[in-house]
Amino acid sequence: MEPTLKINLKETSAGQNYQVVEFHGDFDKAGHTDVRPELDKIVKEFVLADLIFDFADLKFINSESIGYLMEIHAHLVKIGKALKIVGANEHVKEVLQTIGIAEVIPMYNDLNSYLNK
Amino acid sequence: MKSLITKFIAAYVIFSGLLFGIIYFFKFENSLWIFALALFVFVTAIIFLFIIRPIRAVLYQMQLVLGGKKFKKIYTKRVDEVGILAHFFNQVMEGFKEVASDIKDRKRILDELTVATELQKQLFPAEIPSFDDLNVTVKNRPATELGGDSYDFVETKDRIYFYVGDVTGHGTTAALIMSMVNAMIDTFAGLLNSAYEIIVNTNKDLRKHIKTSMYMTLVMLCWDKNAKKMTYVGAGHEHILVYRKATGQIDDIVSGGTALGMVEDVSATTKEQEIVTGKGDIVVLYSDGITEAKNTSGELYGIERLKKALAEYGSQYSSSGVCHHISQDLAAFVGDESQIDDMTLMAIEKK
Repeated sequence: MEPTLKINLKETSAGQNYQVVEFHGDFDKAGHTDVRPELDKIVKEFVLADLIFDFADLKFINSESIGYLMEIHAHLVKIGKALKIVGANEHVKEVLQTIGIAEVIPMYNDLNSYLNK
Repeated sequence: MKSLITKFIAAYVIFSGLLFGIIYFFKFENSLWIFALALFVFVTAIIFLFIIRPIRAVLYQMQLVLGGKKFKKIYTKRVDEVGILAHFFNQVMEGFKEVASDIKDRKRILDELTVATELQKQLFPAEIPSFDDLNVTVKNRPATELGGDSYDFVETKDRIYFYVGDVTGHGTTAALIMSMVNAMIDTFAGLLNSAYEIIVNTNKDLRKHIKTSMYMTLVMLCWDKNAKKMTYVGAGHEHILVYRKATGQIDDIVSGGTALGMVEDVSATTKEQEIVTGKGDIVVLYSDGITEAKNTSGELYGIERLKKALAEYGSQYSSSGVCHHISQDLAAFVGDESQIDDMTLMAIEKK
């Protein structure tokens, strides 16, 4: 069966202090189950400064998945690193803003906006 | 593994050879009869000792099981057919014991879940109170036995607070958080003088008690009984919809704020603002289980359908009719698709 959500860890170049993870699909309960082991591993092994979640191809996000984002955010903050979100579509952005995530996790329109911050 | 037949044949050959040797050596008369009798006794003894007795031991334990009596494990070092039978019996009975224990555990968990479901039901208002200036109706449908949606009305001397909340996910954890928040709001409503203070203090306390992946979105309305004024405070919840009786229009208000339990202090992001209400206006609060309900094609019910339904039914019915008909509209949209999230719909009509 085709997974609801797929992630793609983009390669980093020398001197880059951030790493991008692309999300493709729906971040609902099934999507959460699909990516959690891989994402947990990425977060655990993360050594750079900023972990960027690229939501440009993310169609849907539910409250449980937002809870998981908060868990990742809290873990990264604890080890002196940060989670950033880029490229969320209008629907996902509205959900994240409604809950107040934008107050906790910085959001950018795209990767360039993050790089030019 | 040496089978029982192999052992039996080997013993038979050895014994027959021995017997022939004895008869030949002592030159017995009628040796054929002696041989036949000795062989018969030997075969019978072998069959009894090595086959019938152990099988009877296994059968006896089986009879105890079938009779519902206490049975014993069969201890044997044999690895032949009888040994296999005994091991098979032991393993089957071990499996039965585990299944019986699982069934007992499952029954205990189900009993506890039933108690928890009943307790949670008791946390919701048993009946909707009647208020001088407002008509209120609520519909709540959890997705599982224990839901994460919450609603309540808390009346103090000067104010009435109404709220709808939604804890991340549903199930036991969500239900516990929901109960905790209900108790906090109930306490703070009696001690503090505004929805703003209640939300800020509830968040502060909740943050200490829940893990980082859990939070609760909530929207609270406050009706000032003296000033006849309605205000709202959002904590990262869904929009507030207001049906305007005079114009038939829907006002879509972003509730704002930050979900409870997410950060330590929400005092800066929380605001209490007024909703001006006229006679017949209906304010609707809901949880995302309504707008995120999907039909069989995977389409979401969405806020636009909800607004359309509110505009249609708001012009024809009071708060209870609006709740009823929106629920019907939602059920027709969802069709046979199963409910995946808790749903709560509250309608407050200005008399």
